[in-house]
Amino acid sequence: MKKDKNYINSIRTIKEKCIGCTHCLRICPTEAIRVRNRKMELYDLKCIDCGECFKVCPTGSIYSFYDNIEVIKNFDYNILIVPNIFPSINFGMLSYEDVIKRLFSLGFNEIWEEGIGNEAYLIALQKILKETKDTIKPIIPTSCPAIVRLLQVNYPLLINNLTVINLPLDILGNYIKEKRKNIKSFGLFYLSTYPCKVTALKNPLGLKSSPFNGVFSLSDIYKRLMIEKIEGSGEFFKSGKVGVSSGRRGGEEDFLEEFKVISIDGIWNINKFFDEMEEEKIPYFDYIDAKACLLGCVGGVFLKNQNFLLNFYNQREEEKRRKSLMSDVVEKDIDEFLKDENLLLTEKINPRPQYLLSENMDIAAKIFQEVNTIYDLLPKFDCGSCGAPSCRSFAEDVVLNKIKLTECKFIEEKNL
Amino acid sequence: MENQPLLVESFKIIGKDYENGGEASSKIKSILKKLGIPPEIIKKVSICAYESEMNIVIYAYEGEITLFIYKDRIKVEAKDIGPGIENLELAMKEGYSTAPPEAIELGFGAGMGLPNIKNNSDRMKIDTDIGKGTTLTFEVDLNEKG
Repeated sequence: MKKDKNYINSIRTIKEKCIGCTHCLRICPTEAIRVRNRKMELYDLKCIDCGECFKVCPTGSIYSFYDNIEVIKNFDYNILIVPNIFPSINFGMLSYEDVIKRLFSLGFNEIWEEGIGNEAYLIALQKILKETKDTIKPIIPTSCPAIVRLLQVNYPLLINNLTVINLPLDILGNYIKEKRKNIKSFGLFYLSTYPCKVTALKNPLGLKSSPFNGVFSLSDIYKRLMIEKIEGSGEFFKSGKVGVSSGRRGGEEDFLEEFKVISIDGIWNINKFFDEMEEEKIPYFDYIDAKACLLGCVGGVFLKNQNFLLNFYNQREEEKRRKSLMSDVVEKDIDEFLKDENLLLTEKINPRPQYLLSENMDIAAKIFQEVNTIYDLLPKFDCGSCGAPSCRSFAEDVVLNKIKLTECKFIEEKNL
Repeated sequence: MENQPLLVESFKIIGKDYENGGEASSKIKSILKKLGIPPEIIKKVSICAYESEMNIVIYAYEGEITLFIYKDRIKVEAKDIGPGIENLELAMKEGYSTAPPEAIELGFGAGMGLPNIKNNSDRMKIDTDIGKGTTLTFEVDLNEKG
């Protein structure tokens, strides 16, 4: 799949369903949401695809962009990667093996667990922590795409702490692509439960192109699995214990025992931590296992309200696989995974200039002063009635001519 | 060099208010971020601003930190009403500190404050008046990166 530089985020809304209730407004960690004319509006360049808005939306009007599964018909041979938390999902009466069999019947020839990529990622990380002395610490991972984008939008000072290692999913994708290069027409796909990963595949950061040909939604596939009760067969590649636990908060910590690692989950907790980190108030750490969803990937966006349950099943699954720490593929072929072209980012990830008021400092300073003048007039309740998440963001919108000052209920009263 | 500042912002600091110590420098940091100052410069200014803010909190009764942004540099003035610095030469020495016990208990007063500001800024000036107060000014240039 070619990188689409114009593909910025995956969050979409169904306008008809949106009632303009402002639930999503305040939960957004980057203040990317406004409510205008009783509808949710997204400032695309500020959105980091964390999916918090999706989780709180009471009317179900927020969804994520996905490819239609029909695209697999364009290829003779199809490979699907399932997310690392896939084995932890409860499919009711169906066993995990049954689910995989049914997945094959949808037209896939091979199914790989994403956890395999996480295993390779962790081995590479361990190597870097051990061998490279001059990396900026603590290392912030690329494994959670929402975190990478959070740094771009909110924490430009920390962008150099990002590791040079690829997203685990891309490491695995690159590996498979290389291994199957003899097959003429093959498609590589990912089954996602996260909008952040959809964006990461459509417009990868730090890479020229993505090894993937498409990304499907779990809920869409889930429905199909339940309706079409046909069993298929193909090659199935399982991850080991490490791959499974990497989807849970603290899972990576277990593997990196010998280093000083701290695990943080939940985008707001991470926001607070990064604030302190920017001010150098945090003691020394080698690595921060930061995951945007509460409890980690098991709190995945499209598994609304199931995070504790999934966390439980994840621990069980890990227990089941305790005998094989790593997947067979990683055990046998780790050198191939760790080849530079599979493993490393090729481009530097830069901050998005959208956190600025203007790219010209003179103008930015002027805007800043105007914003302060307007902010002083406001009640500072951050009530959200104007459709902006805070009085300060409202003041900024006013100065940037995106909204009228009189939209503030309190200003109106005063003037009348 | 003395052109008009593009932006001036002041913050009041209260002595011994350890709990809120660091808030002014945190605000300064977020202003610089919004203006698109290069990250390396923000880091330097934040470190210096934090040290001078904590100096007021630890040693003085009250004070004010003012941020001046010029086209070519950032200036911060930390002015306090306090005891003043008795021996400036000693105060500039790494590891020398006259911090009160409660500050040391909280992990402050390692004697690195002033040396840290000197190392991270391009110019630094201290005017002190024993028994009245101290004004510390530092500047970080914008024109060169890093």
